Amino acid sequence: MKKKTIVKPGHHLEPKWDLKGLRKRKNSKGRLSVTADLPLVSIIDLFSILVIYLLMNFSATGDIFFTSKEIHLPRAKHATAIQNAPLITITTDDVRLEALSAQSNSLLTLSDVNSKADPIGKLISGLREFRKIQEIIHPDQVFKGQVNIQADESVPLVNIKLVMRTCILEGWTGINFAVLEKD
Amino acid sequence: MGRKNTNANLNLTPYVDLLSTLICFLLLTAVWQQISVISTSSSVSNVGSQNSVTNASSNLSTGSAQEGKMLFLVSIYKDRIETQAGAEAIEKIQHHYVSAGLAQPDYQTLKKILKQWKTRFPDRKDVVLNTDDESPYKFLIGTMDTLMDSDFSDVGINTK
Repeated sequence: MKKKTIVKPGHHLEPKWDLKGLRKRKNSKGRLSVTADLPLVSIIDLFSILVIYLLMNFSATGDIFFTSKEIHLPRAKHATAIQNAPLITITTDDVRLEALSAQSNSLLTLSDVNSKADPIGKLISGLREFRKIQEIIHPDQVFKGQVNIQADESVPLVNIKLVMRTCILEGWTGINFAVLEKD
Repeated sequence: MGRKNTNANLNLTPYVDLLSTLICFLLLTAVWQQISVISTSSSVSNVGSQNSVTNASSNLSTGSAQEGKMLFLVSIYKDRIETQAGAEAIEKIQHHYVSAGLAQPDYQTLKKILKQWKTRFPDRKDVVLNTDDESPYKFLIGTMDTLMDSDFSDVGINTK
C-alpha cells in the first residue's frame, strides 16, 4: 500500500499545543465568548487603600535632606516644619556641610568639609562660600543666615557647641536642630 | 425570543490606569521620615572660647545685672540639671537625676520649676540654656522641648 505523503493540516503544527477549548468557544455560535472576564473589583479595592495610605503620608515640602541610617535623630513635640537651608551633619568624628542649589535644585556638597583633617576650618570656608552664593542669588534680600543642624542623639554636646559657635561667628545665626516629631 | 441583559458593564480600565499612575507618583514622592526642626534664639546665645559652664553662668549673671533684668538659666550636666532664676541666684535648684536612678534628666521636675517661673513672670519667654561638654545631644533637645512645652519659646544656647 502506498504511503500517503500529503496530509490535511491540523489546527496546530504540534497537536499537543492545540487549544481545543478555545477553538471550540471561537467556532461556537451563540453564547460562548472567547475573552475571559478579569474581576477588577478586588484590584481597585487594593489600589484605593494604597492611594489613601500614600496620600496620608504625602508631604508637600518633600524630603529636603537625606538622613543617613547611622544618624538617629532625637524626638521632640514642639517642632516646626523644616525650611530649605544649608545642612550641617555632625557625627562623632566628622562634620559635613551640604546645601541645595537654589537654581538647579541639585545637591551641592562641599567635599572639602568632609575631610577629617581640620573639619571646623573647612566648615568656616564652606559657610563663607555658601553665604557668597546666597548673596549672589538673592542680592536684594537681607542675609538671614538660616542653617539646619542634624546630629545623632548620642553625639557629645561639645561637638554641637563648637559647630554652633562657628556658625554664629560666621553670621549664620538662625540655627535649627533637625528632630523627628514625637507622637 | 432572547432576553436582553439588564446589567451594564462599567469599564474599569481607565480607573485602574489612573490609580496605578497615582500610586507610582505617590510612592516616588513619599516621605517616610517626617523631619522637623527646633529653632534656637541666637539673640541670647553666647559665643566664646571657654569651656566652662560656671564661667558662662557668671558672665550671664553680670550681664543680667547690668540690664536689670532677671535671667532664667537652665544648666544640663551629665548627672544633674540645675535651674537658676535671677542674677544673684535667688533660686538655685539642683536635681541629681543619676543618683535618683534616672538615665536622663527628669523633665517632669523641670516642668514643675518652669511652671513656678511662669506663674511669677507670665510675660517672660526667654531662657538661657547651659550645657556641659559630655552630655549627649538628646538631652539638649529634650530640655529645649520641655522649655517650649512650658511656653519658654525663646531659648538661647550658651555655646561656651
